[in-house]
Amino acid sequence: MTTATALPVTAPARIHPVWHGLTVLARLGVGLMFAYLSLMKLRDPVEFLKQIHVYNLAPTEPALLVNMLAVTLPWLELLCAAAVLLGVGRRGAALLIALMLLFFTPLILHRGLTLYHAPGASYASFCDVSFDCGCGTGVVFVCRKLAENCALLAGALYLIFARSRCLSLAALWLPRPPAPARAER
Amino acid sequence: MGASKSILLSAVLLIFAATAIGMAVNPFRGRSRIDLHRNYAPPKAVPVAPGLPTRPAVPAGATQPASEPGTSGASRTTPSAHVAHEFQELAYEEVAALLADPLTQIHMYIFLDARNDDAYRAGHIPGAIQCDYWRGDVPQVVDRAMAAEKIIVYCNGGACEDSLHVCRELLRYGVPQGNIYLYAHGWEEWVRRSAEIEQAQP
Repeated sequence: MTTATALPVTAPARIHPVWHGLTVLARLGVGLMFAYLSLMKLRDPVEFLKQIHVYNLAPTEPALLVNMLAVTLPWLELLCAAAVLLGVGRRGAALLIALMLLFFTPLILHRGLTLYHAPGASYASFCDVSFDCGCGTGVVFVCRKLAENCALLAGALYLIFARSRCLSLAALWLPRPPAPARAER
Repeated sequence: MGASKSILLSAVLLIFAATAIGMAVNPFRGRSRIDLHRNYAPPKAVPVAPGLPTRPAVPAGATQPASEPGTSGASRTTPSAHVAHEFQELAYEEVAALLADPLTQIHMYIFLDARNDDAYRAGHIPGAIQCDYWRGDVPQVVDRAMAAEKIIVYCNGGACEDSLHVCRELLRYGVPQGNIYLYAHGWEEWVRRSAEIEQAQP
């Protein structure tokens, strides 16, 4: 007679409920915010294209490149938001969101600084600088926008590495991820 | 390794899906459609034509004594808080005088509103024609601009450059530089100082 005492080495590690909660919270925060911002951009892609030209984000020749950026980027944001909210392809979507934030946030900071140091500008502090950042929310105060982006970036980075599939559609059909192999004694 | 691969795969799939949806939907967006082959880059500044009337710099928000529209002053570079430009600039009093002029009624003086659809619908200078550079409206007003003696172009004011883009685009279509006037303080000043506001029909 043998007794099964040792756990299989591939048994999934238990995830503490706090991490489940945190993951769901991050998905809701990042997903809903990006869904809102993308819908605002999709409302009028021409205004978004205008902001791309203001930022000099892409070379103006060939025109097709920058125009396609304006056509596809809001949809990419919306799809990423949906993926994060539904929990399907969440980590890839979070990676794209993080990359977008890492690209756009320094541009917003740079533009804020440019306006702050512009000749004739009379702002009491850097946080008083406001402009249309092209984010879909119209005119915003730069500090608030930067803080918002940093919070979103933290959420997106967490979602890339989080292992919880709590309340995810993916949990319905995908196998549970294997836990790291345990050292046997 | 497997996890990294699946992350990259889902990222690539999302990019492909977004491109496909964006390209499929774009042609049906009406005035929000982006013409994929148009170069939207704002036109560059052109040299100032010699012999044009000039006017001095006007500080932002300052009032300017009423005078013969567009014919006073000495310097024509960076005349206001507006970005540097090469066009004759009008003060509020001059724009108001031109609006009241009978020549406006017979379209010898025309007003072009370079703001977007929402802003134009909410209110504009009476009789102003919407001419949004970003939506490709300029070619549609070229004939009227060619027939007019004065074309007054405005946008929001402040650092707004859309009116400047329209002015430069009109030049590209052959409208004489001397006929183009920029109301640089634009809508922000107009709405503050004038009761004459027209709203577009829904």
